[in-house]
Amino acid sequence: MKKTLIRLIIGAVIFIVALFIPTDILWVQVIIFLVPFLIIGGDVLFKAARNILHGRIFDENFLMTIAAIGAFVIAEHPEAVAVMLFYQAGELFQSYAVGKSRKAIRSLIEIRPDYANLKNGNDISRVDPNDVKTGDIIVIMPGERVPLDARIIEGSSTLDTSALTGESVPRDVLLGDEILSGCININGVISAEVICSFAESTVSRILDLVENASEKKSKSEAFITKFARIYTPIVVIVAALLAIIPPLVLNQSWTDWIYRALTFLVVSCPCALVVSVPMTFFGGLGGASRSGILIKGSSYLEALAKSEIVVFDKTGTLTRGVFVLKKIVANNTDEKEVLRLSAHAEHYSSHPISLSIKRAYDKEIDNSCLSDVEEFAGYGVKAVVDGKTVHVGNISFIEKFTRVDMKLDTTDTLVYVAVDGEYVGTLVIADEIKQDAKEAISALKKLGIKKAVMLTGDNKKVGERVASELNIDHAYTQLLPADKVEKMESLMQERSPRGMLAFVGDGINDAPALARADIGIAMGGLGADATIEAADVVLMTDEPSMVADAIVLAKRTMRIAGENIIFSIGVKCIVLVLSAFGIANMWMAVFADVGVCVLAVLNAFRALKKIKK
Amino acid sequence: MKLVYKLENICCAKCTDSIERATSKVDGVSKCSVSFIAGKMTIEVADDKLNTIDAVIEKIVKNVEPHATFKRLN
Repeated sequence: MKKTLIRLIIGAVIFIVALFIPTDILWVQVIIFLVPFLIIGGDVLFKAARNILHGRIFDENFLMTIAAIGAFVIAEHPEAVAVMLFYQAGELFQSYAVGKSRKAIRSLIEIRPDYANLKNGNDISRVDPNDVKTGDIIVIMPGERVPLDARIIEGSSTLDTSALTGESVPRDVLLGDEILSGCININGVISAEVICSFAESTVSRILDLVENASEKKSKSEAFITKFARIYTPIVVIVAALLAIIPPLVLNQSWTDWIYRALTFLVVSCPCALVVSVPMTFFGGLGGASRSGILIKGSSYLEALAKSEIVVFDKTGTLTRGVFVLKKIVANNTDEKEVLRLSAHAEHYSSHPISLSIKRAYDKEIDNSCLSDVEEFAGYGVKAVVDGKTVHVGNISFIEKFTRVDMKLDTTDTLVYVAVDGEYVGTLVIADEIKQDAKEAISALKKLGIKKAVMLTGDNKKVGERVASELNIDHAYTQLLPADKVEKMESLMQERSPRGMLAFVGDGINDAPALARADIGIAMGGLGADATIEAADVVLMTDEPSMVADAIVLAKRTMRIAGENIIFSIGVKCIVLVLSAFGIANMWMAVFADVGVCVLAVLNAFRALKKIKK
Repeated sequence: MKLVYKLENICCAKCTDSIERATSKVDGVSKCSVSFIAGKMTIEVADDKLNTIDAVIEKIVKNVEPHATFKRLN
């Protein structure tokens, strides 16, 4: 590139000198302009000749050569050199700008660690992450990137996970926590045991996804390449007609019209068009992965921008999928005592509801005061705590022993507690709705989503409560996994011909639905391999509001791509019209051509911005 | 089988398009996608053509862009 630049500068200097040599003799003029012309454009001539031999007529080198030689023929020598000079300078600048932005995009999504500090006894050696095996111990210093997925065995620290999740708030990690490769260790020194090979680690999987994203091209990209294929031949044909018809039919000056035709050739190169659109999409995919959204191809960006119906799975997607004790209603006793007794009685149970009670109790369970534990599947447990018989379970279980006067009208799960046959209280337990779930739905509505739907295997009462709390348009409840796909297929009939349906799930049991939807969005990062395989978009965190972020980003990318298409085609058309009327000269045409390309590339860069939280 | 190639020094997106179209027409190639920005070409090729495909693609690439470099990644 440097060599080309020096050559162009030398050529330009000789050209300027030549402009000031006063001579009226034609052959002298030809020679003094031919020297800078060949210095500047020699390689273009050579390439043109070579491509002709390969049968590529509408090659840009060839077209520029014709334009320049034509200018020589009609004795516009300075124009010929100038066109070549600007063309070459433009190409140079263009490839510089493209190279720069390509690198910038790559570096932003480049999260590959260069090395791992492998611990071997007391020695620490720097090795290639590929050489580290499962079970090896690695040390991560402050400022370093976590090279492989690992579990902390010594130390604690704060991790910057933004490269993976787009989340800017650092995350604290402690002994025993799993850390994902690609995160940056901010402060403490940590030793960790590697839990999977480099090829299977999070970082490799993300890079795989992003790098292979180019396979699925969007319609806009296909459109612009198709347009470019017909654009050049059409412009060349019009140029030929322009050069011949007005002089022959209207008896006008040949030189004038040939000049206008040559100007056409100058703008016939479609490069600016062709580069700006894929660049925009690449930027969009880069911007998405910076925001913690992995999109498998630009065609999905396009689909996301057109989404009309968004279908959510409930458990794990809109709700946390974890039961939480919401309230304790005590009957003539202390609430804390109700909780203590039931936590003890549930001590040996691993039922999700029992777990939530034990989590809420949050104190040591004293085994010594506990005896005669008996579990009744589907009903509850019986145990002796502190010498008292405690029954914990659902209403039909408890009513076998005592009368319950206090009936709560709620859709939450209720657990009743009785001590020595006496009703003492009720525990209200619910699957918690995610913090941002409501905001996620309203954000989608603002983005023009026509319908938000929820599918769940849960009962009608619970499902409808969640749906109404979140302003979801429709909830289908009591569905088996296979029913979900069927429901989704019937919803797909409702979208308009160009609209898209997105399915959002946490990846547990919903791979078929993810695969069947126009856009399958898997949430919660890189959990199950099957999910990533089936999904088109992977959200790195488990926040439903990321769905709206993804759509915002997709719409932004589409808008920028549209701007680039209209802008570059528009300017080309204007230049064509102006030069057909003899208003634009060859210099202006080259300028317009190169300028458009540079502006379009800069505009494409905007697609790379992170979505603001 | 899916093969990935790295392409460098391609001058513009029109050239990658030419390469993509020419490669798609090669016997045994069922899918071909070239990304100008990523500098990558991904093709789906029949197993019995695996030994000869490199040479065929190299010829196509050199024909479109003589100074392009070309490397198979997998």
